[in-house]
Order: sequence, then structure tokens, then C-alpha cells
Amino acid sequence: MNVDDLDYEQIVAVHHEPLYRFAFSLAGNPDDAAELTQETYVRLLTKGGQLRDRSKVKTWLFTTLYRVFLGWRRHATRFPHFEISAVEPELPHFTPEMADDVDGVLAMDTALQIEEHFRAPLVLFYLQGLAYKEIAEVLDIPIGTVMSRLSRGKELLRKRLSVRLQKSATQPEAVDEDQPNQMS
Amino acid sequence: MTRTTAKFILSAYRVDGQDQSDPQFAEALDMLRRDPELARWFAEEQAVDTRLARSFGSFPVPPDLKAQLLAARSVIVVPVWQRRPVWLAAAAAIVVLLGIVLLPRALRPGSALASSQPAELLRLAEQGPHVNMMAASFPEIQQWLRARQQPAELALSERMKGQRYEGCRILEWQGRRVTMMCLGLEGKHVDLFVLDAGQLPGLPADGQPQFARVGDVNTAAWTRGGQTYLLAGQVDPQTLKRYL
Repeated sequence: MNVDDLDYEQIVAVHHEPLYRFAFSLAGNPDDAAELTQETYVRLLTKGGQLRDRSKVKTWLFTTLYRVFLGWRRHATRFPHFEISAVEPELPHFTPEMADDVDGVLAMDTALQIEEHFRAPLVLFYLQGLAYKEIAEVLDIPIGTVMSRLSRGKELLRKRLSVRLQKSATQPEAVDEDQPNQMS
Repeated sequence: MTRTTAKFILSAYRVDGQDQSDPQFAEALDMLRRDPELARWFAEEQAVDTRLARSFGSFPVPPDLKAQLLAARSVIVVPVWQRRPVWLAAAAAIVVLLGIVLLPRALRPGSALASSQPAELLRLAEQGPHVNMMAASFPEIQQWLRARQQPAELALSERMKGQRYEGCRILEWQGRRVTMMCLGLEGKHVDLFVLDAGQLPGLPADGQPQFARVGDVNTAAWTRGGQTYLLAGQVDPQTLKRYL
């Protein structure tokens, strides 16, 4: 596929926002997320010739971004893993009405508390509506693993959102002060 | 299929209905018609997923990110030969064929530059980032080269030195370091490779340039002051000649 000016502008317009959000969900801070997104587009410009099928551009971009992230992580300690509490308290059932109270920052910040191997498929599922097969391709893991991580990741996300919403109900001002994690 | 298995599978079902025809979900979807409790669970699952997808989709993106990404288009120079991979492959095949046919001639003393060598360098330049550093002028590039113990006193024409430069990169070719500079000639992007003399065998010692074509790229190669130069771009040979 030739990435000419029109193609490039369109690909930026369509995909840069979900790519940035995916990058943020991996890196946990805006600077690294922007840099990951930029590096992905630089690779599109310099290596876009490898992409023969135009319909695959979305998967190619997400796959490239994820590989760039993995490459960075191998050489840096700026992406620490989150520790997850083994104890999961009994929580109220997470309903659609509760989901109505979840804004983008709260959703992302809560996702960042989940281990990356659950978080990455979860964010791809929600962000860009990637099919489980595409998620498997992006993350280079088997389809069965994607399904398992999606199922478990959704459960973890909802539990943690319930906790956050409960806290905000008792301490209303706490939510306003919530900011995405700054990990760098 | 148990209800638990159906829930596990349906967790991966997207809210926009795109997975309706995917056979992976067929049995679980069919079960919804027979199991009202499962159907209630699925309706709620989809309702929550719809809202959470909306939440994630509203996470703020820096307002200047798009402009920065679009600006990268004018900074990152895509090599012209990379834009035509099919033609490049065809051209490379022709070059190889010509190489086989013309090999006996190429081995004779004083023979012309083998056209496969520029093609090999151009292919090498396609790999990795196009430049290691960005610079607007030749003196900036010289400074960068000196810092890397790479030849910087180059016997280029004043006209060539005065052009608008874009960046520089050091490549490894045939076990030696090759400098590649990117610059604009009359509005067209060209790459100038600087090699040790003798790395492109077949060039006359008197500095006379040899012109060749690789795909839709014209090249000029010459030796001067102990270095060999290869200038390549989608420009006509007459334009290249004016800057040698």
C-alpha cells in the first residue's frame, strides 16, 4: 500500500485518537502515550510499504504500537507493573446505571490498575471494537487466551469501578481530584 | 454448552453486532433463545459494554496531537523507491538479470559501474528510519559526522553544499560505514551517499560521473578526493549533473 498524502491524512484522522488511548492504557502517562502514537505513525510513513492490504491498516497500527511499547519496556524501567490485591472484596453488582457514571478518565485510570495482560485486550475491545481474532493478532496470543483475558479483565474492571464509585459516593470530592496515573 | 461457557464466549461479543455471523458465537447466541436468564445477563452485559466503550472513547486526547502527526509527514521523507514496491521488485529483478547478462563485460578493466550496486544501497536505505538526525544545512551535518568519526570534509560542489538539507544517517554496507544525506534539489528529494573510494568498482578515477537508473530513480556516481559519491532521486539526470 502506498501511503500518499491523502491516505496518511485519512489514517491519522480515523485512528489517532483510539491509538493514543490504547497507548495511554499501556504507558500510563500522556507524554509516553503521545510518543508511542507518533512512533507508530513514523513507522507507517517509513515502512508502510510492507502493508499490502489497505483493510488491515487498523490492525497494523495497533500491532505496531504494541510492539513499539514492548520494545521500549524491554529497555526501560519506566513502565512498572501494577500489583494487584489478591483479595477481591464483595461488591455490588455492576449495572448499566453505574456505568453511566463512568467518564473517560475514570475508566482509563481504573483500567491502569489492572495487570497489563488483562488490560491490553480489554482496552482494544472497548476502544476500537476490535474482534477477538484481531486482538489475538495485535497481541500475538491465541484466541482462547484472548477470550479468557477479556472475560477476566471485564470482571476485574467492573469490580474496581464499583470500588471507585462507592468511594466517590462517600467522598464526592475525591473523584474530581482523580487524575490518570503518572508513571514516568 | 453450559451457561457458564456461553457467558465466557459471549463476553467477547462486540456491542455493534459485527460478530453476528461469526460461527464461534453461533451456539451461545442460539442458547439465548432457550435460556431467559442467560438472555437477561447478555442484555445487561451489552448495556454495560456499550457504556464503557463510550467512556473509554471519551478519554481526552491532546488537542495538538493530530497536527503533530500530520506535520511528521513533511519531516519524515519516504524514499521514492519505497512508494513503488511492485515496480521496485520488478526493477530489482531486471537489475539482477542484467547483472547476469552483463557480468563478463563488467569484469573487464575500465568497465562501467555495475547498476546493481546503487540498487543494493537504495534497498539498504529503505530499512530502518530514513534519517538518524535532522539538519537543515550542510555545516550541521558535518558537525554531526565529525562527532561520529565519519569523514566530514567532503569534496562536493558549492552548489550542492548550499542546498536545503533534511537529515543524515550512517549505514553499514559491505562491512564499512556509509554516510547518507537527505536534501532537496529543485524541490525534489534526493539522497547522497558517501562511500570509501573503491566501494563502487567500475567508476573512472578522473571523477567523471556515471549515470544509471534504478526503477524510477536516477543515480549519478563519481569518485573525488578519496571518496565515492552516489546521488539518487526521482529527478532527471540533467538536474543531477548540475549539482556534481
